[in-house]
Amino acid sequence: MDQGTLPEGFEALEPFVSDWVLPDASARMAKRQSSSIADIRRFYDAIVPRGVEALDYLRQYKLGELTPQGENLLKLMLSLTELGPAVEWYDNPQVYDGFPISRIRYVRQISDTAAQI
Amino acid sequence: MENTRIPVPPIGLTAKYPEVGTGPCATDIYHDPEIYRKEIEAIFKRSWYMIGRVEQIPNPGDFFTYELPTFKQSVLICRDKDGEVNGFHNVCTHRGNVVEHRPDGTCKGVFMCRFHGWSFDLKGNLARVRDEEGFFDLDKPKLGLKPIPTEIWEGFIFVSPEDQPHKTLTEYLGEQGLDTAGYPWGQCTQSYQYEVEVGCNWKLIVDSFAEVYHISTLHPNSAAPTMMASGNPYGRLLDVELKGPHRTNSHYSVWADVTNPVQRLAYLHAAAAQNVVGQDKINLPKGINPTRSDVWSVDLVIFFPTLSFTVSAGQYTAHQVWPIGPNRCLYQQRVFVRPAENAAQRVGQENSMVEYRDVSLEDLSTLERIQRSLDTGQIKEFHYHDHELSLRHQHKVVTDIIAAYDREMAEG
Repeated sequence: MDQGTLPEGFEALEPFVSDWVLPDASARMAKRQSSSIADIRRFYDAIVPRGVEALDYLRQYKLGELTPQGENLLKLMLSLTELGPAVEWYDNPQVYDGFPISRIRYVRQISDTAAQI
Repeated sequence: MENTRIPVPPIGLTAKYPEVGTGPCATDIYHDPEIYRKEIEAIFKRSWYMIGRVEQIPNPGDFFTYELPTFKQSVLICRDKDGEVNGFHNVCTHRGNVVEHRPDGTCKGVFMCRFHGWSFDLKGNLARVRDEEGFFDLDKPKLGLKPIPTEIWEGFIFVSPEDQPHKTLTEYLGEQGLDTAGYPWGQCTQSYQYEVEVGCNWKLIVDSFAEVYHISTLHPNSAAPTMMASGNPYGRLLDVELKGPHRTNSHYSVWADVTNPVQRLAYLHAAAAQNVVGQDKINLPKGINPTRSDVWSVDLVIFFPTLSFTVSAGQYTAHQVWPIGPNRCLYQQRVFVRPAENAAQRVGQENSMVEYRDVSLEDLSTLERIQRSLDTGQIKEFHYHDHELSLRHQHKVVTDIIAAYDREMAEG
């Protein structure tokens, strides 16, 4: 039985739940922009080594059938994808010499957790 | 895969199409207000516009509304009780308010204008007028919603801004439509969409995705590691195919060079499909991966003037540019992905969207700077590389159409 905010076995990631479990893609985009690269790296460095395990866990469930703890783990992984380029491409929260992201408007997003099939 | 043995794509694309020439191209079509005015008449009013997919309105009563920024018009698309998709100008025939103000939803058989409550059924007929007794000889059969020409290709809903379209949708799509029909467009049912207003001519946005000569310099850490890997240091294209006003760029990519941890998680463990892993690159319509290359990654399928698709074997991105002035436009990007079979694949979907968005921000960064150089007359000619053939072709298509329009006007 999962007791914490994440599935059993992922307790080490608990400190990141309050910052990196976010409502949707535009919130993740905004959080990346308002975070320091040091904060981003702290989360990145903690979760990347657990990435394969996390995806193995998530693969057992269809969307819409995750426990609340499983949904939190999924949302941490969704935040990781938002942060991947910041760490791996730019070493900066922002796209290097990029078009201002603040001018982008999300019109439609895919639900983080709703069933798709 | 032994990457070092993959040959570098050669120079020689432009030579396949001698009619496009090789000289410098004048930049006036990128900023001249008079040319823009002619483009609206001769190009934009005569084209069709993709505004959504049939999956958005699966059931009778389902609807969505859409703005056509170039034409300053709102459109209402719905599915009626016979299962037909209908399109209307979203304008109440009483006083001109929008008849449906919501972006999408499901109605119970009628659209009711929130201004005075006139109601229209799913076929556009004027169904009910509040306090009808107070009107004077209303000819209700003539006061239905005005239809907008609406056609469907491969599940995409297209509309024409002209009451009598210059061409049918099939004629407009031409050979490009035939060659790309049959791709699993309808299987990618999940989509992200974002939009951004950019201070540049519409052609600059089309251009920004239509050449990859810039990959190694503008995208050194993002797209370049795959697209210029292994003996393709300039990121050359596999091929460019010109088809009437339309064209396709076929792109090279090599998976083996992706080493970034998050990309590897997404591609290998979460089925993100923008890469080349495990995808069938051969059993595709003949217009997609046209050279049947083993090192193919994506095609940019361009429908002149302003719709293009970046198509891989497992997902696609639609780019739509809406001109709103000689040096202003709205750019819309939709990333279409297959439904996630499990929660891990949801991570792959998000990774696709984020990667595509960030690479696009690198592309978009150049556009307002280029436009400034054009508006101030600091650059009067473009010199195109062999692998910038798509831009040269667009230049020829636009200038030919403007010249024909000038003759049409001169002849009255």
